[in-house]
Amino acid sequence: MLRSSTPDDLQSLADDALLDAYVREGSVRHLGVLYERYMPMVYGVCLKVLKDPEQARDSVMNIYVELTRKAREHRVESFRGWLYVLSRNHCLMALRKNRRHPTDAVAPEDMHRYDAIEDAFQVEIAEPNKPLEKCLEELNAIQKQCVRLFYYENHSYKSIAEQLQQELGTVRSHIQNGRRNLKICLEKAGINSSQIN
Amino acid sequence: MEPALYTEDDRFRALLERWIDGDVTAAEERELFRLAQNDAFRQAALDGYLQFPETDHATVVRELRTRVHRPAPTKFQIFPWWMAVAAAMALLLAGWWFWPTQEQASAPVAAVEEKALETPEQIPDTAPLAMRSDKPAAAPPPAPAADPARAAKKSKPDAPLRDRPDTPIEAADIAAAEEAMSAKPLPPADAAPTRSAPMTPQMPAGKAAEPQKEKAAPEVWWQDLQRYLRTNARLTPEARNNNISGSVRLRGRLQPDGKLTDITFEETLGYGIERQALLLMQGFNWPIGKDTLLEIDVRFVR
Repeated sequence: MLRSSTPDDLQSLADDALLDAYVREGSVRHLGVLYERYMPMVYGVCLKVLKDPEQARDSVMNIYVELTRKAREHRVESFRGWLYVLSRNHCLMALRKNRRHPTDAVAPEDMHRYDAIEDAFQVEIAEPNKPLEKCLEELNAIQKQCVRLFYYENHSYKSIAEQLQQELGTVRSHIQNGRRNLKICLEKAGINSSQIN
Repeated sequence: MEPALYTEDDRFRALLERWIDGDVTAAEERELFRLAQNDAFRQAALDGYLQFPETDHATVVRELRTRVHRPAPTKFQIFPWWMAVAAAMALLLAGWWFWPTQEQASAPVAAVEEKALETPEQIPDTAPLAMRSDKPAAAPPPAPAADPARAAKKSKPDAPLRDRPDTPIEAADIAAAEEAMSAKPLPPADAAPTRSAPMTPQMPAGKAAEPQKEKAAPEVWWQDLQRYLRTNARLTPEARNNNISGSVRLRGRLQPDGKLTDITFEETLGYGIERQALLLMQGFNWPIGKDTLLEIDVRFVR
């Protein structure tokens, strides 16, 4: 697991308690535990907005620095929601500042949905059926193998990567692309992918 | 916040951790996606990861966790040693750089004038014609007596200048100066003065009728002029930025109505200093009733 070795007594504290401890005592340790709790989500938001893992990684740390200051300046009612807005705004500002890809600017209202997640939701392969099998056969060999292992044999990404001696990220990419291709294939066949389950 | 949301959020974060690590199964991934649909934060976060399926997110997240728990998370909390060294080096360099400039500022006018003569004149194109010294540097001055007088002056060390108030020159003065400068054309180089006032060695003797008498007793207004120039001659910011200092020499005709006209520059420094000198000429209260050619040095030092 990715969980760090922070003490369990702090890990078990609620968001409010950790934030209070930081505001009252200036305990960065408490704030660190609190931020760590949501940091993978913050990183995900930054990835979505910035579309650059390097920049997203830097932004996660910059947001933490900003957090250490702002958490004491503002009265925070709901830390989680406040952190989301803070992170999103920070990354949007960073994007505006960098302007490496001006056309990639994402307005907050457009962030609500992204095609990748829809693909994932609509093509869920619960059990083999005829049109799905046909589309599955049209996938390239490695995508087909990854999809079968993941959906039919219930292997994890890591397990598939070990079996096929591939990188974890590559397996994840094959499954994601295979899923998207399946959706396209099924739509061509006149089958709504949501009918599959 | 509702406890149910906390529960869902905890579950989502746990599943996200598994997804990042690659431990997630198809059933867990389905649950992860379902939970993401209920909340904007979760959905945005998952969308971000799905955009980069091949990236090794686990390593990045692990590294970020380590960094978050470092003792000094804020920027600039510690002054790094290399910044201290860099600052010390910068100070040393600045000291070395400005040392010769100070010497130059206190050098005799002769040395500065020689440098100024080598420097091409830098007068803006918009300057009046009278400001441009079209004459060659070696052109004979209208008053032959000026050369020995200048030589005598160069051999003397400069007297220390008084502290000068930092008085800005008003915009109205600039307009007045420009108007005055364009009022009359440049006189011929060998034009004979109607009357010269050689009250100091800087004054051209010209073909004056009674030069010896006036040399012996400098007039009060001339002394006032020198004091006025010492007090008000200020370097322009451009000159200051370029470490320029020294003297400009100008010639002009003092009219009976108390105006200085036909001003030409014999020696210039550029960087807007000539313009400052013109403004100074316009700002002085010249005596009335004289008709004289003048040669005036204006010192601009730090």
